[in-house]
Amino acid sequence: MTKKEIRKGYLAILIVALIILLPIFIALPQQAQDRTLILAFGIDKMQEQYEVSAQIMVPESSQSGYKEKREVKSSVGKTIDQAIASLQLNEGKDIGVAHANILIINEQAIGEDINSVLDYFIRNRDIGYLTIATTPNSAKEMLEISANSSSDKDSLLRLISYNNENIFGTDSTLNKLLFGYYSPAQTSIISRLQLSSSSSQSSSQASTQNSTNEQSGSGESQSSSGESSSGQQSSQPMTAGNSQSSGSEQSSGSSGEQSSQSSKQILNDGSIVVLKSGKVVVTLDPLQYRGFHWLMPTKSSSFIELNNINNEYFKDATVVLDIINSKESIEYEITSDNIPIIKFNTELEYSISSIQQSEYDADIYAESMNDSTDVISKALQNLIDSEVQGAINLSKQYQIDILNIYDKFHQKYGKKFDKIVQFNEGDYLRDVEVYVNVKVKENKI
Amino acid sequence: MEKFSNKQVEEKLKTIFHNSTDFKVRKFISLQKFDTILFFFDNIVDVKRLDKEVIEQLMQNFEVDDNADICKFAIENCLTVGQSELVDNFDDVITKLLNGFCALYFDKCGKFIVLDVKNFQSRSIAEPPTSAVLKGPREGFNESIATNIMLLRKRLKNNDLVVSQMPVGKYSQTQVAIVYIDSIASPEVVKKVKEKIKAIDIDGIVDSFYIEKALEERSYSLFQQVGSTEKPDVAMAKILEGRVAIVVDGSPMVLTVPYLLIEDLQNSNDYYFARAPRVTFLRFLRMFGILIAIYLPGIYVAVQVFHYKVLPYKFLVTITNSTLGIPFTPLIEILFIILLFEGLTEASLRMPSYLGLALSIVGALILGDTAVNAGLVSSPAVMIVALTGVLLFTVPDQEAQLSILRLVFTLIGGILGLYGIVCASVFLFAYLSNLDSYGTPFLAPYAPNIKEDKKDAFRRYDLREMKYRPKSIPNQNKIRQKKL
Amino acid sequence: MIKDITGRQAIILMAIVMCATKFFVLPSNLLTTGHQTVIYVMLLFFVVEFLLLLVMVRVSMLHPDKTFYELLCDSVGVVVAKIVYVLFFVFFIFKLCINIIETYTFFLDTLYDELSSVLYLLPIILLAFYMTYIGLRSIGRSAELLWVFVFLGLAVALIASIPNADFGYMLPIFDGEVDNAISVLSSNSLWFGDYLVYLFFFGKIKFQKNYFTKFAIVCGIVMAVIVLFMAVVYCIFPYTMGMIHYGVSDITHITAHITNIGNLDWLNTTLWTFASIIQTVIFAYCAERCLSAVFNIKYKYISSSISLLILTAVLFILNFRLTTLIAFVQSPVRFLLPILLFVALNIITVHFICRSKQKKQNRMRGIIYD
Repeated sequence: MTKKEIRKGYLAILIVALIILLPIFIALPQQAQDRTLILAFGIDKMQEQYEVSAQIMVPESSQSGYKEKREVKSSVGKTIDQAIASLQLNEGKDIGVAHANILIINEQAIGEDINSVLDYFIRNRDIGYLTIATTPNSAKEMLEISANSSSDKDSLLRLISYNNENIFGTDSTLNKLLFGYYSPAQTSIISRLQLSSSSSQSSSQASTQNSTNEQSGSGESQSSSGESSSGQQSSQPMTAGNSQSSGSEQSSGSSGEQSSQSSKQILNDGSIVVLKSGKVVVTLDPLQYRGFHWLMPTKSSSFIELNNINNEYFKDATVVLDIINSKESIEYEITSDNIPIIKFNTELEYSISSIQQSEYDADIYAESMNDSTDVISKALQNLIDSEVQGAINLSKQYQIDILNIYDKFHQKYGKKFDKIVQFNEGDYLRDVEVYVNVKVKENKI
Repeated sequence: MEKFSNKQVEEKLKTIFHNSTDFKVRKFISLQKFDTILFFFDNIVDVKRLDKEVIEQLMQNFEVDDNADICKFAIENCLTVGQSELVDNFDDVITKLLNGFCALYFDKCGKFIVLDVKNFQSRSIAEPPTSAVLKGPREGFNESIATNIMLLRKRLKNNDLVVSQMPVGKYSQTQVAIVYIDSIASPEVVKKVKEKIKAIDIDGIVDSFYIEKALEERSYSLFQQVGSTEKPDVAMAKILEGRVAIVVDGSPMVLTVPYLLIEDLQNSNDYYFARAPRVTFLRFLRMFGILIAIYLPGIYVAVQVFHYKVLPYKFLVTITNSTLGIPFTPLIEILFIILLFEGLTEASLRMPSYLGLALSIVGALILGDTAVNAGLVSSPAVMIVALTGVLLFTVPDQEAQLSILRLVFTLIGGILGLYGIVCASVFLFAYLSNLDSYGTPFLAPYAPNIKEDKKDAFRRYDLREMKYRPKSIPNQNKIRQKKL
Repeated sequence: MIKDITGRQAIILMAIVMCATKFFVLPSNLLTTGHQTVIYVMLLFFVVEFLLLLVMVRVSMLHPDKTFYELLCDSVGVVVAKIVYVLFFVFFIFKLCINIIETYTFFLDTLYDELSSVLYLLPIILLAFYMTYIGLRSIGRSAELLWVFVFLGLAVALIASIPNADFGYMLPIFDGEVDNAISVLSSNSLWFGDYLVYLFFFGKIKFQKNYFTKFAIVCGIVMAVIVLFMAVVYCIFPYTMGMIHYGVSDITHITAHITNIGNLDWLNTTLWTFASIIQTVIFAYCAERCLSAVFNIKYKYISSSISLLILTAVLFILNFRLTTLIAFVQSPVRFLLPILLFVALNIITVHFICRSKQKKQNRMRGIIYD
């Protein structure tokens, strides 16, 4: 065969292929029109069945401007798969989950093992980066509030992702959850969202808070409960759409505008749910979680409130500090007695953001600007120490290894640490001690 | 040749030219004793020169010996026309007459004197419409080969500039000139070009495109393998790099070989107007323009039909909303708009200028706005096709090929999706890298990589740094300029 | 001998071929059971491969006008050379199967909802046929153009993912699992040995200045990048490797976490499939060369058609399933690579040594070499 004949043969094959294939493929419709696009999932438990809610995108014809409409549809089933299959049948279209990035799970739905809920989402290759949160309230209601927001449809995502990343320093994603679930520590954490009208959670928060407040430093009681200010960690709930929060844009935000939900808001106050082997073990409020935070490499900047500061300048003052710079080092050692020790060294630079006290004396106030560091520094050191010790105690109490202590020791000591774990019958946290060394410095501008 | 009489010669030539009315015969007595007959085509000679330099001169009183060779005497003593020669066969006389010469025959002389008095009317030298410059020379080639060669000669005043002319075409006898610098151009390339032109056996050469087809090694390819230009400064630059220029009578397009694809990304403005960083930016812009023009419609269809997952959410919302209710599928919609725009482009080339405004409004409003408002097509699709249609013209010389490629990739995107586009891209690159133009790789200096030549490729270095001629083009003399 | 490719093109081809299919399912296959130990074992294995590759390069430079087949015939005779080439043919068919099925499954899982295997196969087979027909020169030039896109995709994936990797998980180094790591590596051996394609560049490379040094540096970097990639994947998913299917796309999943960016990681990995296609074409070329040499087939389009038909048949026997493919290549078939390495490289090393000895002897006798 000559080159020309081969070329002609090639061309003939291509033309025939085109003639055969074109009529088939020219009629293929747009995929997005053929599918129900799901943006967020919510899972509730109703008696013995799961109710799966899906926030879906509803197309609206528009040739100019951006219009977005979302609705929430739900269906029930004995398993998640069944519920989703039923949803598909109800919609009459395939579901498209490629843009789904939020999963809200009601705490009751978690049950004995969260993996039973997550299995569908793990196996589905279309789902990419999935942010997960739990709630004691109805997940469906949360999706509806978010969907009905006229201004910011993505407020739910922003409430969790942005705040977690930049304020609370948590990583509440499917990937991280599975990481913890399958790790030797078997510990995972998930963000916890609430609706504002729910009051049951505030008492549990108070109970965990009180246990922290019992620790004290040098006779001056401190509390890390404090006021909220823009973008800061606090015991005041962060609201979606709250103008104080830097995560959202308008005050209406994702607050429900429907009559039944108009008073309800979705709140992310930074509390987390801790799971051990997929089961909920404890809920930690932001102040308790901050203790763990000191020992984590990723942190957000935060304000710290010191109460009852007393010296020659202050009397029962509340001092709010802004942490500007911090340098940490964490060392993991095993002593000759096979005691795992964590040495936490940190150098902080802070500035005084505000001081509040009942009586202000102008002269004293002016002097206090230059000479107040010692007391405050000591108070801060004590606070950090107490929070860190509190975190370790919580870990021991509930056998939750949020800090990946197992991994750190195993990486450094390998078999030696495995022997300690074996000796302690798996409870390697029992003997862990932490030594805190805090150096603080005031940044006086 | 036999010593025919004037009458015999007249009859023979009139028969050969089928008694054409523009074939004139002038009989007179020259040098007061010789019967002379003058043949010419009156539309292609300068009649005034004929009268003054031929007839008037021959009618003067010169003393001639009876035994003298009258033809030789006339050439040496009487005729004042610059170019004259003796021809002793009818074939050559016919060729000369058809080329604007006049033929003088003395009774029973046996030889013709052919004199160059041609006067082919042609367009004046003007700026070519396809290659406008902001700063720089504005002369352009026209349809006269003599003018075109003059434009080259006046720029390359060197004895090594060779012009080798030959007639091509059985009926047209079109003059085709090969122009090159003997001390720079590769002898193999010159030889190959000459052979290919000599091998042309055709009725007539209407335009240089006919010669282009003959010069290409793969004439069925979508991509041209011969360069062309309407500007003498560009032709000069190419000749100086070692290329061979082919000038065709009757065509303002001068061909150049060998050809590189990167040539079409270069523009006269790059050398006369803009500085090196700006030129580099513009060349990358042209390249991205090409890539977007070829790939964007195909990718748009592919992501709609097969890969909605890839689209960011807000894009997806916009596209879904705008295509809701459109009766066409994505592939049909895009093909429909592409064909509409191609039709509009084609019509705009042919429409009378006084209708231009009206049809522009029809095109813009009806095709663009009204079709979208009527819900027949979506605005993203119209925008994409319009954008790519404009970007095709960032490299106007490749517009035809790119337009076909755009269509092909759109079809492939609609049939096979992104995978098909990837495979087709690899195929395209393989195909292009397999093309050669007279021993020069088509995709040089990037495939194969030629470092020195990259100084004037996508990135343009300062002119002073281009010391050597391009290595990708076969040439003899490597050094272009010494170090300043 | 016509030199089809320049030194630079040879280096680029080797770089692409060596890493193309190591970033899809191989990370999951190796790291799920091998953990971090297998990365260190793989590093040692790469050092050996690297040295063997340098030997090959040296031999090719010593015999710039001879193909590997000619060298084999000179060393061990035509019959043995043909047997070796049959083994190579089988090897490259298996490599093609791995390449094609992996890429098919990747597209099917990530980018497409449905993709018919026939519709997938047709373009790649036609492309492979076309490019083996037009020859190594065009393959080299195409790779020279496309390598930017290929490594851009990889660079984006790595740069976006490295901040999320906690390299502490690379410790402890061996963790008492060396046997397991070796076993895992050997059962996935057919994913390695891509560098053997260099044998089919013998006699076709136009060597340039400092070719050996540049080759060594680039291949060293490529191997280092492969090891780095494995480390990054493991350090991002140390406990969930079993859920990872395609390393190169999954590591970018976790970084594309803002809705507005969307799943651009999949678009990024589409760039990576250029590498896969170039590798397919190179393997098809090598298979065609093997068949041509064994049966003395004069026309390329015949040997190319036969080898691609055999490939198509094998693919349909494997039913285009990744699980079937993995089970198959982890069976005793996996010993094909070590056999080839043993046979081919021993021959090369012997030849290299013999040539060097002869050169030395000739120098001593006063014969001057160029």
